[in-house]
Amino acid sequence: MDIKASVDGKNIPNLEDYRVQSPLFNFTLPENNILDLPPQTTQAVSDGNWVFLMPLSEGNHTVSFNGSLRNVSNIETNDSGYAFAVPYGWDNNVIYHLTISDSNNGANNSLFSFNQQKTDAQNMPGSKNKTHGDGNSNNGLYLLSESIENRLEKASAILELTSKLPDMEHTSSFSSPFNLSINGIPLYADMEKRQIAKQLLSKYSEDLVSVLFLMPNGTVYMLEPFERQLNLTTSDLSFRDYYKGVINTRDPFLGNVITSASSGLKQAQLAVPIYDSKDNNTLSLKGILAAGLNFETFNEMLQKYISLTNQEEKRIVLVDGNGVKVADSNRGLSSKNESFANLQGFRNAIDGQSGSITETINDTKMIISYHPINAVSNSWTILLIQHKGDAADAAAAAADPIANFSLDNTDLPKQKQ
Amino acid sequence: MCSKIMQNNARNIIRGIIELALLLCLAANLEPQLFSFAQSSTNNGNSHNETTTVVFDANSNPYGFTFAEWTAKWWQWAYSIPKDTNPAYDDTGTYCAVNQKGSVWFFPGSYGHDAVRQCTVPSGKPILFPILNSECSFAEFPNLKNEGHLR
Repeated sequence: MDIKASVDGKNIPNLEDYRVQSPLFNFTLPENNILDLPPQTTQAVSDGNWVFLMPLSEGNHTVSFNGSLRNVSNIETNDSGYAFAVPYGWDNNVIYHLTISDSNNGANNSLFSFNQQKTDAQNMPGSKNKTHGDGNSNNGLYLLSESIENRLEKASAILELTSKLPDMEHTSSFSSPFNLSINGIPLYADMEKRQIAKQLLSKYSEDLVSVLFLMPNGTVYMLEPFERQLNLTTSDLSFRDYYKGVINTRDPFLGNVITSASSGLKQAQLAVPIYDSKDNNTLSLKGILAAGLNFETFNEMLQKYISLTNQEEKRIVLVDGNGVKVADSNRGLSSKNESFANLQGFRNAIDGQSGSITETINDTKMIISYHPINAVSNSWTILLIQHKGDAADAAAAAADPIANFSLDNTDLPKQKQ
Repeated sequence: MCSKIMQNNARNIIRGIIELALLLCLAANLEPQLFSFAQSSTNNGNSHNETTTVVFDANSNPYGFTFAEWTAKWWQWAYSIPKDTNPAYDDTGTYCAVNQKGSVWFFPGSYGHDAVRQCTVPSGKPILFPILNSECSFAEFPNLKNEGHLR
């Protein structure tokens, strides 16, 4: 067996480590399917070596791969004459010349197909399919999702503009006194950057709760408020998803929810690259600017949505790409760690769909309305949860208002910053 | 059942080789959550238009699903598309965007010959593709009765 894969001419090593067997899954064959079988829904398991690339940076890239077996000539068929499975890449070279383009085009496609649900939306790239349920509910979710997307885009724009300030990209700024015992530079070193951070937190307090400067290798340079910097247990944050995301894509990247071990508070970091303005051609990375998002603003947006739409008996949550809760319309539960990863509604939304589905949670039938959110580089989701409105659930609904419904605690990564 | 046919014998040999490789990796205590390579631009800030590409680890849970679940989604996607617009039968990339509606983009390999494809992917999309893969289904092997037979 020989397996190879590369990106931009650089081989991906240790491909043997990416051998994966799937769980049992359903699939549906349409007319004129590639197996030449009658249309049907059936089940299968799969086994193979895969590559799962994180997002590539904008621009042109080449991805190539090849998988071969030397005894390929010995392939036999079974009794029905069908060669086993589909050995994709069976001693064939596959080369993709890629253009990674601004996702705004994709977003426009999504919006278009969302509003054109009577068309064959399921076959349109970037479409948001509607499973079932009442359109009014999801139109409301659509508007809410736009508001949240705008909020995230605003925070991203603030950070991007800030990253272009001369004081941010000045190389010598990163040579200020560095002290491992305080996890970065002292309080009164490189005052220009600290002052910028303070101004950001003061002016955009609704959006940002902390500002972080990382060096290109992921080491903390400065964190504001300074008390948070002192509380860090490590100054190496190169393992964080937002750091890796920015390094990989060279674009703004929104990380998923983590819990600070020092404060116990949930947080998500939005990060942007800092470039050397004198070196536009090669995009030399001078550092990374990141900010902790203010979850309270999202809590308030969800509460306002419930209140304005007169749906107090329902609960709406914003969850990250892992299904972990970011914000909650229920103020009493907003700080509680919860995961909604097992809800089919969440999974549908991660698949780009918008709709409603009935699911049984804690032995109670609930209607989950879901809608995806283009969260900068990430995919977040809003979930509207309500008791199913039939007679059998009426008593349960009365005894246990959905606004107080709660899932088990989740074990979020207990990591600093 | 699937395991009686020749290709699966080959598959078992591959599995033995891979399991040996995995043992060697475990012995070396290699268990990165994310594996990065080509890190030419991370240490000193001097990038030269080289990207640092990161792949998801086989035990990770990207975008709310396990890696293994994403491979199942890849098959669901690949088989959902009729042959005349199926990207696996496309030698130029014309159909690379067909049914790419989720948070992850899927690339197929090819059938029986080399392929060079042009494709535009929205920024921010991770990409999943197989190097060597196979599946076993009740549709193709109606005599199989349960998941154990499929495996």
